[in-house]
Amino acid sequence: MYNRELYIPRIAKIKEIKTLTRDTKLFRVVFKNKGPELSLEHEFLPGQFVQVSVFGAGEVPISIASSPQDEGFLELSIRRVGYVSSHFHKLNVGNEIGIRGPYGNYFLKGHNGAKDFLFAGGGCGLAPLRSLIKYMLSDPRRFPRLTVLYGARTKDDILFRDELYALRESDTAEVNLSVDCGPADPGCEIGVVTTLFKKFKDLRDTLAFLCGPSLMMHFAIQELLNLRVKPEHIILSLERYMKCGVGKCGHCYLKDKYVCTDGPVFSYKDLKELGVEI
Amino acid sequence: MKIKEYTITKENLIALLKELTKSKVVIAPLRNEFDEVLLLPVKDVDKIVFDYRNTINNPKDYFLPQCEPLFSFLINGDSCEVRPLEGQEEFIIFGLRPCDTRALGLLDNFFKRKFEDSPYFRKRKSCLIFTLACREYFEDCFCNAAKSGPILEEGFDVQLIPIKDKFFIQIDPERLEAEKMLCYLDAAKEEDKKEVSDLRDKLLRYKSPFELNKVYQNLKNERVDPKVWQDIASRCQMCGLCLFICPTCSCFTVLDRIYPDDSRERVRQRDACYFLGFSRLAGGENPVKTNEEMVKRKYQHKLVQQIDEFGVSGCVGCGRCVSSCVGNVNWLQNIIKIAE
Ligand SMILES: Cc1cc2nc3c(=O)[nH]c(=O)nc-3n(C[C@H](O)[C@H](O)[C@H](O)COP(=O)(O)OP(=O)(O)OC[C@H]3O[C@@H](n4cnc5c(N)ncnc54)[C@H](O)[C@@H]3O)c2cc1C
Ligand code: SF4
Ligand code: SF4
Ligand code: FES
Repeated sequence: MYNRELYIPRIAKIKEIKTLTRDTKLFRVVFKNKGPELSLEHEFLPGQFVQVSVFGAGEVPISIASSPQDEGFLELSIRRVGYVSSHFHKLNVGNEIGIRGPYGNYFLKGHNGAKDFLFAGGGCGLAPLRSLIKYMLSDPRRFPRLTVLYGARTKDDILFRDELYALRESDTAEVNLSVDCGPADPGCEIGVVTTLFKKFKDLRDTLAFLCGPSLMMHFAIQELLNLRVKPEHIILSLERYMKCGVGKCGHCYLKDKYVCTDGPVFSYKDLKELGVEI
Repeated sequence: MKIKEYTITKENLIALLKELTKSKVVIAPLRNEFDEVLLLPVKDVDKIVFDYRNTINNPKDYFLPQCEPLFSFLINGDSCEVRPLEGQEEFIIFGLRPCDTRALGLLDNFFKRKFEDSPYFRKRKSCLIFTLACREYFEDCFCNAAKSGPILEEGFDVQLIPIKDKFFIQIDPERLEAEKMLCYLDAAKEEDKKEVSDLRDKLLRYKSPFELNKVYQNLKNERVDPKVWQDIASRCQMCGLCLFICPTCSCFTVLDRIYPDDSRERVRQRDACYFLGFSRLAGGENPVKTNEEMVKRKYQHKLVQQIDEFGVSGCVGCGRCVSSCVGNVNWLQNIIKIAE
């Protein structure tokens, strides 16, 4: 754990702020004090989240966007949507915030044997996927073939655009982008996320990771099932209202599960068995 | 370790409580000027009430209060500092009913799941509980169906059972050293034990209003007439009252408070899953799409999920929510319908 007491955040300092889009900023943070029994920044697994505080404004769940390979800092991409997230956007380098976690489960469990990995992200759902993609890129022997599909509202809403373009150039992964409304840069489709699936014929041995708005996930799942991806190989990260992150406040309760501790990552098969409609 | 059994006279019980109040805060049933009985801190032990059905408030008030600080913090220019809570004093709750004792046992299990909830357990571990068993069933309560009374078999620190002219007292030696209070106690005679087991048998013969396992099965396998949910959703006013006064409901929200003297705290405050915004995400999307789904979640959580996870019903049958609902949503009658 990053923090010693369940509800008491550990203080972290903002080292760097990057504006990713008109409503999303990337914060690089470092813990202020190191404690012998406390975890270091990179001790987490892709898919996990942290509870992040702006003291005086409140606390919100945010996925870790950096990779466990990135030692010495954590990266969080935060979209301005409401009260606490707006306070985040007012912070400057040098300001201090609070962090608790890491919480929740993670993307990679029982992927043994898979060689093809597909990531389908929408909007700010790219954050937890970025952690996983970066992690997998560092081990091409275990994770040889990666395909990234990402859809945003307009070309100015594409998160981590430079990184995605660079990845596409580098040939280490296939990257397909779409925007709901044009204009689009060359090589980027116009249309909803389903347009990105057109070029595939059969994905039966692929492990697919999804994160994004529920409508996007709904359609992406249909496409994946049509392309013969197994329900247990469709792995999604869910977003639910959260106040504690540790299975106590009850807000994230979903059909006999607590998304914060049993999730946020579920397979499509699990969700169907639970009776959750996506 | 085996439960130790004695008897205690009412005079000795009062004397014992007087002794205890010298060193600790004692919370017990007291009557207010409106003739209502509440669990309140005791100043005068002689005022403790013994002839009550159940208290209006429930023990949750002392472990998960309406609002409580989690920590305080300071902001100094760029830097922030957090301060944990101060220490917790030991206290005693006397006169908790078996159903509420069970409710507390359930909260103990809940607040231990996955992560131990420190604000809850700093209070819980500082508290000793004297349960007072019931000799009869009262209107609206159904501990026999919920399997949480009227006399507990286990799961108490100390249990008092009223018998002729005195109390049968059972003490869990891991929670309280009976030896320290021997001067107040008498040995339990065979006839005292027989009186208790006769009382138990008599109470067990009462017909239970529903069969818990049937409720569980019907909910789990979705064999409930959708009209039940429609009916509840149409009458529920979403006031949250039934959830605030329920001894096992534990949902809360968290917020930062800035006080006029500029001191700052993060607090948690009770919340209710029957409030419309309970699940709503920033941007307005709500994964709980209908009021039917919302009301059903409470039944599902208490009567299926908590049984699956903890092996006991999440409703202890205290009846508080039955008699206080402003929309006349009768929880007990609805469970009976579900069991059909
Ligand atoms: C596991 C998980 C990971 C997330 N990762 C990211 C991320 O990497 N980047 C990002 O920008 N956003 C992420 N979110 C969403 C983010 O938590 C919400 O946008 C944020 O809580 C909104 O808070 P607010 O105070 O600005 O909004 P308001 O609308 O003012 O919300 C008030 C309160 O409601 C709760 N709340 C509202 N919406 C959400 C929500 N969608 N999820 C959880 N709680 C909510 C919060 O407690 C919040 O403080 C994630 C959510 C979850 C559950
Ligand atoms: S007390 Fe009655 S009206 Fe109020 S939330 Fe509960 S069921 Fe609904
Ligand atoms: S649901 Fe109602 S009857 Fe059951 S424990 Fe809660 S308040 Fe008591
Ligand atoms: S976020 Fe509080 S229970 Fe899941």
